[in-house]
Amino acid sequence: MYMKKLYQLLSMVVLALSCISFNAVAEEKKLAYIVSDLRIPFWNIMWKGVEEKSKDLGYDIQVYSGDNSFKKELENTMDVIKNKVDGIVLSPTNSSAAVTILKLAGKAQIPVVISDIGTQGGEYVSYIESDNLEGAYQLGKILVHSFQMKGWQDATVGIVAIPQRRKNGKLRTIGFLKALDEGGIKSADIRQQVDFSYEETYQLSKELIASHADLRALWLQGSDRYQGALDAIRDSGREGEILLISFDAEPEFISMIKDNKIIGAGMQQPFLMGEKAVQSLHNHLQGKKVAQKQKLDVLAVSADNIGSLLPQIERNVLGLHISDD
Amino acid sequence: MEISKAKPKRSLLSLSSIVVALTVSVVFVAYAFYTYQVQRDQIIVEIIGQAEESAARLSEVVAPYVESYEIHEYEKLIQTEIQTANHSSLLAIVINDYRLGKITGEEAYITGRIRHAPDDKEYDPNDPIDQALIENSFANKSYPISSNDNELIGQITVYVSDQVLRENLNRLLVTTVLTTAFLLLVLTVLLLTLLERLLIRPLNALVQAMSKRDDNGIPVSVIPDSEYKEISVLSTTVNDMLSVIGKAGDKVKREHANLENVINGTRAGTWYWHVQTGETVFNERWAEIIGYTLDELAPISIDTWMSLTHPDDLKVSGKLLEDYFAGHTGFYECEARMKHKEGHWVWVLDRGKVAKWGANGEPLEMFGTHQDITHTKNNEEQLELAASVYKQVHEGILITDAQGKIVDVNDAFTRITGFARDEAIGQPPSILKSGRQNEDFYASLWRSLMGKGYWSGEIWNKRKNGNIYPELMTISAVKNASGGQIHYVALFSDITSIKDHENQLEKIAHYDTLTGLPNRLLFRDRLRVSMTRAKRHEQPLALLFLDLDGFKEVNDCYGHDIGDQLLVVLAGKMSKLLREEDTLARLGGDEFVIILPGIQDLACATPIVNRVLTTVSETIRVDKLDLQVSASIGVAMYPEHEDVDADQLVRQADQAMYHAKLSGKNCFHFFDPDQDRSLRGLNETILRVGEAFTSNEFELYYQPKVNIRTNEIIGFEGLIRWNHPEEGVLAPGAFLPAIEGNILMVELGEWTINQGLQQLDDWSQKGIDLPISINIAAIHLQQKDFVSRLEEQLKKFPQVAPEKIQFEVLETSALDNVEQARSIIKQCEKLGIEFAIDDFGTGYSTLSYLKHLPAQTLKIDQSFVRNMNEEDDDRLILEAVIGLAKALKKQVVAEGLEDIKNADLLLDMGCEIAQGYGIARPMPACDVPQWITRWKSKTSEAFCVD
Repeated sequence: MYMKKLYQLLSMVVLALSCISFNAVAEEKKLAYIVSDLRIPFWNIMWKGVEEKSKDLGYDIQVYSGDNSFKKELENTMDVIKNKVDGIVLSPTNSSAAVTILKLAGKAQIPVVISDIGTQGGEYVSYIESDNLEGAYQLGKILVHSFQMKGWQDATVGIVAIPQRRKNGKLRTIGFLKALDEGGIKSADIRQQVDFSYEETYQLSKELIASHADLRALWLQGSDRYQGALDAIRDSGREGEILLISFDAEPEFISMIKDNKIIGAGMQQPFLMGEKAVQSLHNHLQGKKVAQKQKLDVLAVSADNIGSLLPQIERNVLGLHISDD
Repeated sequence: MEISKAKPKRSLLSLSSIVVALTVSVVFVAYAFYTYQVQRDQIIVEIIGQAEESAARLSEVVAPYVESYEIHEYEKLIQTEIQTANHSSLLAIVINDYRLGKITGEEAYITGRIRHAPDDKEYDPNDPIDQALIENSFANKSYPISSNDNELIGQITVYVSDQVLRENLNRLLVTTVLTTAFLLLVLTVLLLTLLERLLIRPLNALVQAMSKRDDNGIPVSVIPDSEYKEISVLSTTVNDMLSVIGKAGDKVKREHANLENVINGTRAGTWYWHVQTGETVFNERWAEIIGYTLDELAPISIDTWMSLTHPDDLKVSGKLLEDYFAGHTGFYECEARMKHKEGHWVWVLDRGKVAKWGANGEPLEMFGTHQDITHTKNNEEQLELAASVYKQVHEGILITDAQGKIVDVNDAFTRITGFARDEAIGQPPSILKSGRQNEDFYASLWRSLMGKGYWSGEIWNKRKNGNIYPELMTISAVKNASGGQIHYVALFSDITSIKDHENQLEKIAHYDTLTGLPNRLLFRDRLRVSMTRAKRHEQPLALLFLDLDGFKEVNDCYGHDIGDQLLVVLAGKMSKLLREEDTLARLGGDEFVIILPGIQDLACATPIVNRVLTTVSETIRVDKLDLQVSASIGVAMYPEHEDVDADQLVRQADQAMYHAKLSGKNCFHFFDPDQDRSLRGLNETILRVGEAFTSNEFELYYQPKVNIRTNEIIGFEGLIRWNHPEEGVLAPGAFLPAIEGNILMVELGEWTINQGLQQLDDWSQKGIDLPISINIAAIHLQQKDFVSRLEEQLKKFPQVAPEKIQFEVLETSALDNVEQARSIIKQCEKLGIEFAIDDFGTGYSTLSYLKHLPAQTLKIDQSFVRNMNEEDDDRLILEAVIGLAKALKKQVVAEGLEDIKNADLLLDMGCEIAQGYGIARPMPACDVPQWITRWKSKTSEAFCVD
């Protein structure tokens, strides 16, 4: 929660700063970052990466948050088009909405680089995404390793998943299960989140624990409601017997991993993605060839490697070095 | 034949196929057209309905997305809609988004999907192609899009394509056409298959069955039945028809076969003649009759017939044909000669009839036959010949039917019998019956006719004028081919003249020419008949053997003529004494026999015998001479206890007569059975002699003949002796009489000759050169081959001169057949063999006979010599005999010189040669040399004494 508040605060600061910098480089090339909701820390950290890189490259960058509204996002898009920007970095509300934005931008002949979320169609310069498959696979291996360390035989894993119709949800499941399969561990069951609430996470976790006696781990595909899972373990009287592992991460996970409250987490690198998006757009505008799809590692962090990964986590995942500025 | 020339028939299957295909095609094309129209309308309704429905539904579904600005979401919906498989008629779906339009600064944000076949793409309102497609759409439907608050937030328009419609219709058309074509094909195949299976195949089976046909084109197989009623009815009907036709055909065949059999059976040649064209057909037999085959006669036309027919008969045939064609005769028939291949003429009976006449009554086609009647013709000729013979022959011919009624006679019959043909026909042959033949005769005749089929013999018949005459007749039973009797044919000739002549002959043969009495031959027959009757009726007969006493003297005194007349008178007188059933016969000389049937015993015979004796002894005046003779009569009865034959009976009577003679003559003597038994002893002797012959019991003894004046040995007489194993050496008198007249005498004679020759041969080697005389029996001398056999025997002894042999024959035997004896003696003389008459003086020799006999020597019987001292008569006879011999210039030998002292007496009488016991007894051959030596020494001594 702390991290989230921190993200919101930082976002507002970044928004104010960006308006200033826009004016400063107006005579130069203009870029726009259309984002679904800048109030969400992940997108905020990504915006930091976009902003920092744009500045590095001398672009006038302006952020347009849709505030998780399709209408606002479209209005933002039309505003950007009217402003005749030279390029757009797009983190759409969803991949469907991205299609209309790309179509509108396409009509105005403005190149777009998509950073995360993806699109269901349309033309764009490049798409920057996290390597969910590999990240989940590495995370699975951390759990397998933990089971082996504990000498647990015939132990199963319960999965609380994000909607599997999402591409990232599917990739995470596939990668994780591949690792479990290689380690000889079976998944007990999989339950999908719908509203991403605490209660939902708690309830799903409780049901998994209750219905599978041999269940020795819970894997959360989204990290924000991890407390619900922890509470469910505790309330089931299986504290210490059931491990928790999570894709994505919260700032407190660094200490929790160290404390073995969570044995591992898959951490995306939003800051790095923002930087990568702008660099790609820049390359495009420079006439360079840009790969249409670019994948960035998801860091599989456990107690064993958190020490070595910490600087990378703090910059690329948490965007903390900005605060240092 | 006509069928094959007809134009080719169309196949029912092909025609059916075409009709079925066309019919089905028309139906299906019509149906397809109709279906196409219906479906086209249905498609149009469906397309427009689809647009309507899609527009209505999508307006509802996309509304929330329009309202929430989720453009891509509703874009995906309409993309899904247009890509939905059954929405192919949709050309384009276009949404006018008023809300987004507000954002983009337009009236509406226009988006949608449009089909660019085969794919679809996002609709671009600025794309002229898209615009053109929209404008040319077949139809479109628009619906407003409203928000939850019923605010008009957009419009959706759905376009349907006429191209899709066209494609659909084209597809429909193609589908319909293909379906139609497929169904057409299937249905056609199905129909044709069914047609072929249900109709064509049974019909083909029917046709195939009917295609196997006989020579007349009539199907021979049974038409197979079908499981389908209509075909079955057809095949049943056809089978019924075939059955009827077959039966009719069989009947025709049978009739044809019958006709052929008749033709073959009658061996008739057949001919067909097309009178107008001359075309002619013959069968093989037609040619065969004249020795040809049809091939050899080819080419055949009416000229074939004309060229082979005798020109004369051809004219006749032509005339007969003209008559027939003119209607004068009902048919044509002609006998004609045809030239046979081998050159001779063959008679044929040519018959024919016109089978088809022309409209104007002219003959068109004619059929006929040829029958080989050569044989019949020959028969006719033979019959004519036979008829001619029948008519011309001299023998009378009488033909009766099986019932014995006269059916025909010839001219000769009329001439012989006097009955005209008309008078005879219908009458029984008994009209000729003379009554001369008894019932037995006719019974025998019928037996012969029935048994042998013919009778031949003499018969006495009566002429119409009542004359009875003899016929030589042959009656034959003439049978027909099946053995049934039809006729009797009698062939006879009048043998009156022959009979007369025969009677004369018979008279000569059976009657004594002198007395007219039955001779020995007839007597013998009558005796046999009488004996048979006597035995059958148990009425004994008496046989009288009569020998005249003193008849020789009559003959000698008055000559034969007087003797003969005496005999005639006596015969007449004796005949008068006898009954009609009695037979008086003359055996020869003065010997008569009388058969008296119905004589019960000797007593009954005695009066008759006495009457005969009396009558014979009566004085008879002949040629002014009173002559008297008497008779010695032997009587034998038959039957007696032991059966005898005629010869034996005669011998019995003869034997009795001999006794009567011995009893003083002019008396009678009855046969003594004891004497008969001694006779039978003789018969046994014959058998014994035969056995002795084979046992070599005979031996030849030799008795010397000596010149009593000079004591010279003249020769020897070979005398047979029987070295009887029981009775010792038997002289000839002991056995020769028994075999007198038996053939054994011949054998014995030949044996004797052979022995004599053998002995001469033997003697010649021993230096004894003296002849041997051998006794020859009469029977031996009478053998026809006597001379030839003698020559054979002589050949066996070539060293022996035939002159050394002399044969001695009895006077009686020489006189029996003086001519034959003369002939044989002469032939023997030619060989060098002389003859001597033995026992001279005991026979009946007459001087004239003696004179004619060529014998060189007479041997005077010993009875005269033996008693010459005591009996004056004998001495006188001896003197007379010696004188006679000398007169006849014969050498005389005196037999029976028992005492040499009587030799002088003989010498006085002029007989120099003698033989007898006084000189030597007969001796075996082995003793002869010694005797000769002794005799010579003895006679030399005597001379010395003298």
